[in-house]
Amino acid sequence: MLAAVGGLVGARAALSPRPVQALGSHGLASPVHGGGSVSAAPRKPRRASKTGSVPARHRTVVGSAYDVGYGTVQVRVTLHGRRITGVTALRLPAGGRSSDISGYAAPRLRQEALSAQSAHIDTVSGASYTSAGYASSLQSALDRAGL
Amino acid sequence: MGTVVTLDVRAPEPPAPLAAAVRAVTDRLRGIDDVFSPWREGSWVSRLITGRVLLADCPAEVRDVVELALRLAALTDGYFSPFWRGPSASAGPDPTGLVKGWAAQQASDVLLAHGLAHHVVNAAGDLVVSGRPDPQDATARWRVGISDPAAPGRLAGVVELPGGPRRWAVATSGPAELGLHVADPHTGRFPSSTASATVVAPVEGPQPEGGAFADACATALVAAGDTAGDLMRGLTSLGLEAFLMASDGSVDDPGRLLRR
Repeated sequence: MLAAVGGLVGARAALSPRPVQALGSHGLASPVHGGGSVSAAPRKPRRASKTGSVPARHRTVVGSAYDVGYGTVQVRVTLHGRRITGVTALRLPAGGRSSDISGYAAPRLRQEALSAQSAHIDTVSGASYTSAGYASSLQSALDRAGL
Repeated sequence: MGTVVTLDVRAPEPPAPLAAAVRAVTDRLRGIDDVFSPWREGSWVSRLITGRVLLADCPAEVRDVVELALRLAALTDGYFSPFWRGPSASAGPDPTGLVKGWAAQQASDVLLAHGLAHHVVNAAGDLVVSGRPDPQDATARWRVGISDPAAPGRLAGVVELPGGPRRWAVATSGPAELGLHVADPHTGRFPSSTASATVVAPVEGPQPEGGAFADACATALVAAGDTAGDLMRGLTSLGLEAFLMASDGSVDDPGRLLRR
């Protein structure tokens, strides 16, 4: 079901050997302001962090805010070097069913991002879910982090 | 409500045509959405479903996808059906159940046409992989995580697929995310015995429409309920591989695809 394809398609140019991060899905929602553009930022090999070309340090990156039709979604990603250590939702739709969706989708996506990374997964197949805004904001944060 | 599509392009250097390719894919997906969305009042498929237009008057692409849907209905004993809404004098065929997988393959086609051979297109869990996960490593295999239907956000295991010239489509269906939404077209009931069905289909070879096949067959396996195991074994004659995760936690995986 292609419910509504609007906004952007997130794309990443992954350098070998493997992407550090791989989500099942991210992408299509309308950016509220700026950001979220297609990023072709070079992805350095994971091993780079061990050779010191990418310093392993803690940092936080805030993603773009996305209007998902029933509210606004924005996430903050924390990283240690090139590794995702946390994803926090700064803004989520509230009220009525939106709260249910937010309360359900946010931890689910956070866990998926973290578990996919730790399992060295290229991508994830699963039953459809609708989480465009969360994933888009996450992806824009990762783009800004140069991942 | 929006379906989410990810493009993940693998290349040793940032490929020059990437931005143009992403624009072309975006245009293609928007075009597909305009034509095929059942939630857009004026789309061809909306008008087809509600009987406001005849199939013969639809664009060739719509006729082709509906024909594919009818073929898949025959191949899945009717458990995938473009007539799942039930008999109605005015209702036309609805190919929506396979459009997501079909669209993922269409997006992959666009990337290939731009020379981007190594990529993943993931349309909210239905995906196509092409080339190699690491273009410089001929032995690297794709590792596709399969969502655990019993534990949202976790993976039940991993399916590994060989990298190389052959593309693969992988689709998973089940009630874990959207609730019981796949009806058995024969009865109108919503079977709950299959928590998750995953289908792996080669995209080239005897069955070039692997994206649509995987998507439709995953849906059919959930709709088949208690008879899903028999249907799954029948699908192997089409060159498809599949496994089922039942709501009681058991796994039926004759091809041992799922590595835990």
